[in-house]
Amino acid sequence: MTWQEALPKIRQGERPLQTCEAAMDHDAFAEFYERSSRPLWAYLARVSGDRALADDLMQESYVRFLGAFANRTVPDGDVAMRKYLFRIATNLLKDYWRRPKASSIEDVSEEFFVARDCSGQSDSASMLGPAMKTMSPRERQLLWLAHAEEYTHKEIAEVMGLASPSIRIMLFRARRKIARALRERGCHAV
Amino acid sequence: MRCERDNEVKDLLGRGHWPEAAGGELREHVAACSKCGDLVLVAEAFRGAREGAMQAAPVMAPGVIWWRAQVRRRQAALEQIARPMWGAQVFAFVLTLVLGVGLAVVEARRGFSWQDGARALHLEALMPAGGVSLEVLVVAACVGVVAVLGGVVVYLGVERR
Repeated sequence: MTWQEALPKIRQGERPLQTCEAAMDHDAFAEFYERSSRPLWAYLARVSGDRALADDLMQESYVRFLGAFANRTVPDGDVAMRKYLFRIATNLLKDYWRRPKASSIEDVSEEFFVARDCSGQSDSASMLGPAMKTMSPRERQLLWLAHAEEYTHKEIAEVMGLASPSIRIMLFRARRKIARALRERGCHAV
Repeated sequence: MRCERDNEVKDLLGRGHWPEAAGGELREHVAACSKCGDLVLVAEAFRGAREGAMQAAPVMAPGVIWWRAQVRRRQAALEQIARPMWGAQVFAFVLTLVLGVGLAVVEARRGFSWQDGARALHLEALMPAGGVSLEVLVVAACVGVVAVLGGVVVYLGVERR
């Protein structure tokens, strides 16, 4: 296809044939979005500690996900697609933290989450915000993926782009650290 | 640090059966074992936080995201198509620049004798009888060329944006 043939079609909103077959249908995307958007937002918001940033990164994650879908780089299956989405979000968070102007989690208010967590949640959940402030971004990601999303070590390694054997020890240390922080705030295992 | 019962605790937590399905003996173990205690404490905290955060998640229309993705894909496709054209434009510009510099170098070696050649053409015969000199005509031509090139540059800049 020459550019003279392709350009009018693209300008009219038609997709080139190659991507048309691979692209996700709008309804299928809406269903996938319905299933995955809340957990993804929870991950981004809790790990970044910034609600507005979570909104932005969630949208960007889905836009990139759809772009990757058109390029046929997304694996098949709902679980694999979700994992891929979390991987995109994780990379976006990493990019954000790499930027020099990125605010640290210590600067971010946790009041919003604390207020929400207290309503019908356990004490430990409401204390999680302050305890999270003591953790590094990577530790927050590890802990969230392991204990909120309940991913296996192998899945966490895939999402975070780390070696699988190192996850176990990193997770163990992060868990011990946050458990200590939670205990210091008066939380105990039920 | 190893614990023989942490898989048992993980299993109950994973199925959401902790602490209801745990026997008294296992609860006592969790109370005494720091590894299992940490596991239960952290898992419950994160699970509770996840529920809270999911309730707080904003409801955005998937159509907006879908539309943004389509716009970006279209933009990427257009850029891909425009890349060879952009290359041709750069090539033409570089070629013109090289020719211009080459011409200037050649003329400099000849002592800028092009004015003599221009005079030999008797261009003043084409000008009105009002007495406009050749220098004014050259300046006007240069201004015209700059204006046209400026317009082309602005057009290309706007198109790219």
